[in-house]
Amino acid sequence: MSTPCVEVKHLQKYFDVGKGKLHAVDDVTFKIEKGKTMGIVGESGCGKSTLGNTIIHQHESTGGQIFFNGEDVTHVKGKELKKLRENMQIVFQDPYSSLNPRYTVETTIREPLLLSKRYKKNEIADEVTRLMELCGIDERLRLAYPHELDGGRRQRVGIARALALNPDFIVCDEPVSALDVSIQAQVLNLLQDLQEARGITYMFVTHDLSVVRHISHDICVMYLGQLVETSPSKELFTDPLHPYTKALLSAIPTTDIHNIQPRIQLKGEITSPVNPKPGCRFAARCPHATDACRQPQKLEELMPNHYVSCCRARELNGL
Amino acid sequence: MDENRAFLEVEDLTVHYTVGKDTVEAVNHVSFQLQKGKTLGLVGETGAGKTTIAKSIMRILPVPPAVVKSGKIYLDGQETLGLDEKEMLKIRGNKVSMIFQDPMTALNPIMTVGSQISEVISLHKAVDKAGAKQEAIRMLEMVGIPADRYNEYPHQFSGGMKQRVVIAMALACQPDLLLADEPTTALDVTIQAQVLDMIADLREKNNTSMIMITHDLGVVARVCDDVAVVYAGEVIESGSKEDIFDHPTHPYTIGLFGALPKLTGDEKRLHPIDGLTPDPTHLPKGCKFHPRCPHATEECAKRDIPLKEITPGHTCRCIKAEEGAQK
Amino acid sequence: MAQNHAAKAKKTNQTLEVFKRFCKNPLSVAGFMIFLIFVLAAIFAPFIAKYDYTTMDTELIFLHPNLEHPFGCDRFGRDLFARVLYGGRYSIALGVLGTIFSTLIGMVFGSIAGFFGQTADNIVMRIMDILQAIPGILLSMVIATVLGSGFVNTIIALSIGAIPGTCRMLRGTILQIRSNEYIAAAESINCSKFRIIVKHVIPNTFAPVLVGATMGIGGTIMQAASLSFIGLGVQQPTPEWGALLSDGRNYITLHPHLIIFPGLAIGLVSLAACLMGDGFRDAMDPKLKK
Repeated sequence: MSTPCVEVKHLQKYFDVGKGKLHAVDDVTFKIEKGKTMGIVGESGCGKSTLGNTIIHQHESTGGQIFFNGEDVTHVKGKELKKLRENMQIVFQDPYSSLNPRYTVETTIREPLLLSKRYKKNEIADEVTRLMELCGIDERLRLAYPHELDGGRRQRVGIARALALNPDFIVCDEPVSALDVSIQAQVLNLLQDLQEARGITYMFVTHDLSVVRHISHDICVMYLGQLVETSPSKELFTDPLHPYTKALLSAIPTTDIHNIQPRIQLKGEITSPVNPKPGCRFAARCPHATDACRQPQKLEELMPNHYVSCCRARELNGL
Repeated sequence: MDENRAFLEVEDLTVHYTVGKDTVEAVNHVSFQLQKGKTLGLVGETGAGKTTIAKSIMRILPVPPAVVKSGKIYLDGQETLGLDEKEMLKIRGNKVSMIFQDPMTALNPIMTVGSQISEVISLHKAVDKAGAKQEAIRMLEMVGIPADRYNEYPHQFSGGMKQRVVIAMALACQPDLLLADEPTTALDVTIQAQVLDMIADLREKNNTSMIMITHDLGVVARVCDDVAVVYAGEVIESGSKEDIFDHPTHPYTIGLFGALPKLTGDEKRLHPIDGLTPDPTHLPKGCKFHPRCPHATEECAKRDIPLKEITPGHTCRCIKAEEGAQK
Repeated sequence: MAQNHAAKAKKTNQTLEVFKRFCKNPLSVAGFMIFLIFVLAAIFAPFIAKYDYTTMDTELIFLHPNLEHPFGCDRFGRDLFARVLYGGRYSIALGVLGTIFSTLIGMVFGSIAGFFGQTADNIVMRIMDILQAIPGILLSMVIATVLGSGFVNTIIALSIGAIPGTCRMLRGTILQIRSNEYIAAAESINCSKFRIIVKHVIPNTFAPVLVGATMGIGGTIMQAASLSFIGLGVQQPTPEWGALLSDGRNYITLHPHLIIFPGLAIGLVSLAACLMGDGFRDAMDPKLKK
């Protein structure tokens, strides 16, 4: 078996907040194979963006390990961190705040090329041209400022900037959720084309389940900092095993008007991830919760490559 | 009162915004009807003019810069665009209310949620203070918020709960028509499902009509009876939910469905609509969609295209619709 | 190859764009013109005024405005028109220099607070709290009393009172800029801290600083006038506008022209500065394109 591109083991990220520790990412373990896309889904505040930021070292992890191409990179510093960052990039959610309003398209894309010192001065302009072409940005927009571009085009510029250093791995943090449907499809297609052409590995963070199903090979479902279920993409939608995943899937409004599924009623609100009690964090809203759920849960492989963190998953699904 | 009219009729509504020397043609000759107790989905992308239509019905357009160029709106047989502000006050809240997209900004942060609801009630109903409070508590419980949270402030509520408070306020006076402007866009899917179900329950109880403004076709599939697709300020296709979802006819509607990732099936690639939504200050001549349309001909750019009925109740603004060029 | 492409791409010159948008607003253009007229009048005062501003003429004491002396004469028979013109030199200079100094110092402290945060932020902001706890004019009075009167001292007195405003504004702007995703993006492409500050943060603070400073000029001119009015600013016989007001205040009922003209000058210039600042703010917001 080949080494996965990215692997995290028991990754933790806690933030100090006034009242205690916010468990944004708690004991998350998964791996992403080279050239594949891992979708991370969950609702707001589940820690999916923090997870991405921790893996690319924007945040320092509190505990656990991060492996990149088989190497432990959890605590790299200085020169090695710089090299790592060239290989791990990020595309942000908000196409409005992710570009410097005083930078033209060219300056934005040129900056990483300039900083990497890989290119000679006269090569840089050609490289910018190549990247713009690759990301479908019209040449006449080369000197345009972000406020002259629409959301989809800005997102393309953000992608070109992330691609500039030819990274192996890109975290896409809700890259299409601020875009209209017709533009969203353009950007998703671009991301897929780039993966095919360059073998890039993606971690695709989103709350939109239909998007994640479309683009991902594997999916992790998170709830309040915990990984509740991970499986190959299609399988998650046909055979969800965790009660939260089931509720989440049943809540998606589909466009299939003749086949509207009854949705699983969830009671209660999302609890606070600050100083959480041990055990499954979904237990408070789960229709199947028992006392055993208040104990720490283990991620178990119930089907091939399909891991679930629920002590009742076996009995509930008749496995 | 004219008995022959539908519960809500919008006729030839045109609203422009004047920004400096430019004119934004936000809504152009929009007409539609809504029957009592039914839900109409207004679907379209950012800047299509959906919210402007709703604000025109509520009569809360900012004038200036907005100018209503033409149109009539009949609510329960009464024309409302010509009413003066005093008469409109009676209609707003009693007959029509609106739910806004962002629950965070729709509530006053320095008033308790309970008093905000009871304020609405006492403004529109002949009840005393205690009566208003009682009614407000009933509304809160109806949207699933326990009565003991009556005296809490908006910041103590989660996003989903705030939106439910906003809905409670909108429904407090049992309006006949509810305008919901992307009421669940800011919410998570599981909370969105809760809120949509709740709106549906409450509407059923009071036989309320609703206009649901959204860009999410999934939400439309879930709650609406009829659908009007809006593009660049025009209704380009309208009909029953079945008409639109089973037989989309306008190339834009077809494009929207094609661009949407599906939850079933194995498509490798999506089919985006080429190009961008047009600049509303410089709309293209003829069919507003022709620069992006894969089937456009010279004819499309020459003249304004009228809405044509293709099957009873299903209209489409495309010259090729009647030729049967569409799938 | 790249040049060819660049030729096709259309670059909008941002400064020019801002200027164009500024010109579209008649009020701010009017403000700019008024301000410009006052500045030019002050600079070319010797060519405009027929009389010297210090020459006394006992025959002309309290002369009311006429064609020869359009603003009349003061209690020593000095031509008021000349005094207001020359006074502009001091008043406007005080306003502009005072604002520049306070803005520069405020920028330094605001940047320290915004960039380094935590302890540095705490220390700087507490100092600003102390400064702000004392009303600006009172603070300026105390400083002017301690340092003594005079042009430079007046500038210092005026600046210190205005520092907290700029400092807070800049700190807020920087914190807001730092929360933008393009800063995180810059970090992820290995921008050094220094480069992030110089290339990504500071250029984005220019607009609010310029707007704040332009708006501040009017206030500083008024404050300078207040200081001289109570005798703490620029001293006689320098014809600063506040000093002119102070000079004429005893004769307000009989000879109102002594108050009206310097007062009008102060009011007009302050208003002009505010209108200009307003125009800059609208013109420099990239989101308000068109």
